[in-house]
Amino acid sequence: MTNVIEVEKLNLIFSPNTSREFHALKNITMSIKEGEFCILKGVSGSGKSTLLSVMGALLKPTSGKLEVFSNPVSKMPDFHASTFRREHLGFIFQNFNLFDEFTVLENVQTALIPTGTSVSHMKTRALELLSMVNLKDKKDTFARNLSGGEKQRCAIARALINNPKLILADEPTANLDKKNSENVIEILTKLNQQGTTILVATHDEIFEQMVPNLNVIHIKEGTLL
Amino acid sequence: MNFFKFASLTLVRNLSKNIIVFIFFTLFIFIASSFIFTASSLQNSLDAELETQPDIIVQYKKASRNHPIDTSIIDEISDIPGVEKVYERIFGYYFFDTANKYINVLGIDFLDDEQEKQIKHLYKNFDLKSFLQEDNMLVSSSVKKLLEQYYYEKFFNFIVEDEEPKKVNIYGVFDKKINLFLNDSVIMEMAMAKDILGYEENEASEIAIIVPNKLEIDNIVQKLLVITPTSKIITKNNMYKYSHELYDYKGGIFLSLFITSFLGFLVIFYSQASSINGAGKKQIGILRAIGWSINDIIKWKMSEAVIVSFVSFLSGVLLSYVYIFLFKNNIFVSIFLGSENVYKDIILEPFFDINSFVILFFITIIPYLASTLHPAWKSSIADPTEAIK
Amino acid sequence: MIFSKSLVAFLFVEVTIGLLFIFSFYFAYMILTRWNFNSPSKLQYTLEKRDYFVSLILYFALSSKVVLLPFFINLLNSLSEKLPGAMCAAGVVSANEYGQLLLILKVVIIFVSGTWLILNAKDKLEVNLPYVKPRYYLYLILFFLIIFELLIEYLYFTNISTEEVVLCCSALYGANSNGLTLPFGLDIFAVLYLFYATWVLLFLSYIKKYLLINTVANIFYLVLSFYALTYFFSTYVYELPTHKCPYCLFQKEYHYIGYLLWGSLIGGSFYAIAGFVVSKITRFKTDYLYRNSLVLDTIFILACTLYVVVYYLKNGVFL
Repeated sequence: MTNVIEVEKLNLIFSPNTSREFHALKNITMSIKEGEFCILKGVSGSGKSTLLSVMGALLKPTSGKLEVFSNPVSKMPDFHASTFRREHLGFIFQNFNLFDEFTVLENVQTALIPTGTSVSHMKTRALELLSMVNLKDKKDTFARNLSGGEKQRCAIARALINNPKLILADEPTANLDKKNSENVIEILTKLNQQGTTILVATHDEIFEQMVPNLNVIHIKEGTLL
Repeated sequence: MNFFKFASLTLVRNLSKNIIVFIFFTLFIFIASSFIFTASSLQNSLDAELETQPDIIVQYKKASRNHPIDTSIIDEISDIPGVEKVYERIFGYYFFDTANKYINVLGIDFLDDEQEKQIKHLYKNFDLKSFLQEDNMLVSSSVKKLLEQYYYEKFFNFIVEDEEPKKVNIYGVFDKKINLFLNDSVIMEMAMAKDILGYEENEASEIAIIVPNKLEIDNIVQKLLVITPTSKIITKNNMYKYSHELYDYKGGIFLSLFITSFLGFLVIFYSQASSINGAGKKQIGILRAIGWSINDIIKWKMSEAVIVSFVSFLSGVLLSYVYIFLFKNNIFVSIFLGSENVYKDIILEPFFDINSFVILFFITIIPYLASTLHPAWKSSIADPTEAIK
Repeated sequence: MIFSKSLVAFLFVEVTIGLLFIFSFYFAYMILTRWNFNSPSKLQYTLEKRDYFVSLILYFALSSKVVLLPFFINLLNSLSEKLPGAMCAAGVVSANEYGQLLLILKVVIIFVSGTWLILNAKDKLEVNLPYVKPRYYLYLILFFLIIFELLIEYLYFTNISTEEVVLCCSALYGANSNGLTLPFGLDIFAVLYLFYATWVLLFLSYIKKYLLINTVANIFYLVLSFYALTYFFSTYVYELPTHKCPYCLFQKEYHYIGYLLWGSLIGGSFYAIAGFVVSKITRFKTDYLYRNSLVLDTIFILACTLYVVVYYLKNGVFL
């Protein structure tokens, strides 16, 4: 099995050489294999979201090596980093991050706009994913009128629209009740069984209870344990 | 969905935030475009009016003021080869003391074909015979209104130097359409006009010359200078040039003022647009996380600006078209035509001058877009981790 | 000094673009002096972001300049009404020594900024932005061209006298002109022969991919076209053997054909020159730029020839 993510001696320092200097990630070395379901576990402020941002090429590390799908993500200029994010990654967030003033269908389509995909294809693809997450009948509902569980399922559909091989999720169940959390994890497990690699930053115990073959990585104060 | 669709959705769904910019922009376009419509319509009517004017006009000036010109040179001018017709013209302001207003008195030789032709289109079913039987005049609707205010319903008494007041009957009111240039005028028989304006019988306001072959005009002007070296000679071309220059000049001044105030609007807009709030930052963070590049964000923001400016532009122009050409006596006419001598009764002829709107486009949309470049870029580089925090 | 609405608007937009350039100059200067792609410093990331601002401004400037060029030509034509003796833009351009220079500058600026944007697009396709340095040297050139252009514009418009009589196009280009004449003592048939021959050379060098030859031929083509159009083809547009003028073509009487003719000609040269520069600096193929060039050059030659053919078919004789 090849490594999807390879991290070597990764450091991230915010505002270096100032009084506000903060060492957010310290000498992190890790790797994640293709097809793994992996969780980054730690309390809030431990650096798990930061590490996720770095892996998603949203944040540039101060030093160290980071390769995602053999791409030197940390050194990519914006154009390539964005294309990379779009083609390989799907992001899922704690507070869903939908556009409230957009409908479900429009929200799902936004991720496809920069690709210049044809309107009809965009719509078919979005409807396909909405039926997968059981939201097809709500496609014209505004996102602000959805329940928490529906919001997260809509966000998952948006993350999947480009067929990503890696899903990065930041506390996806933190704002959901138990039933909806299980629902989300079921979807993620199903995706994992189809071959998608999944990395979740969370402190929720429910993942350990529900997901078989889970790879748990502990993080504390910017260091892996 | 593409960037334009997305931009239009973000604009419409956040209407309350964008409506202020839209309203102000539309208002600016409305004012500028009303000015342009008024100016170009007046210019166009003036051009049409000039078309009916004689080819050469000879005036006598003293200290740069118009003085009566001696009509004895008419025969001499008629002898110049290439000249088809020469005739005298009488006009001048009569001061209506009680009302403190000026009335423009035009004298016409009704027996002359050329001049009668000009009058015919002013008044339908004009009966020359009955008109000339008594002391009659034709008045504009504004003058009619003015005279009625002072209870002159059927006639008017002109006060003439060293004579009894001259009583002239109001024969009729001429057509509204041509009021633009005859708004404050009355038209009467030539001898009577001379009497009222204090001209001698052998004097005229100016001498008009008609030249069928336009290429001959310069030659004839040379010969006129020999006949009357002290006269001022105006060709039709001079008149066009002068009127165009006047309007262009007024227009230029207005544009400069407009640009200055528009810049003020842009500064306010710019400072508002370049401060991105938390929600805005978050929105951009989300888009960046789902794969939008810096350039994609810029494209979206610029599409928004393009939509706002084009929609405002079109609605401003449309509103002003309706206001200027469908409503009577709009304020822009007063601004353009200056002092209120007599009450204005004017409807502008619709006229659309493309060049002026290209100019308006350049001085509004380009600076507006220019002022959005920096805010668009600034929001595009907002911290993309904002979505994860 | 000459004054009109169009002129106020034109100068206003030009100054706006100039201000944007001055605004971006600091960013460009920082990128030129401090760029180090391999550095993980915050400064480097900031510079990478600023690069987007500079390219945004250039994109905006180029689009405005492209729209503004026909407006400028139209402005010159409309100013001819105010200048004694002028019948079209020819007289206005020759009203003082800056007119000709200004026109050339405008075309050069469009060439340089267009090339810059193509380079920029290629640069963004690379993973390490390798063409930043050449791009920003080119930016420096462009910056000074823009400032120089503003200066020339100021000098040009303040030095047009509305009193002095200027020459009309027949005096400048016509039979008894003492100004411009055909170069190297060539007669018009030699110019025409060379003009068509150069197009054949363009075509062949494109097929054979001799890019350098194609670019040089394009420059020749531009020069020859100027003479062929002014002294030969324009007479067929005007249908008058004595009316020779490159500017009257823009007027309404001739269906604004000048915009198509000059637009295709300038566009054709632009793509060839940009294609050459881009292929020298980057590793990308620029065949599509040369193809665009050939298409535009061909549109030009076809349009010109068509005027002659149609005239012959209608009248049975040549002028």
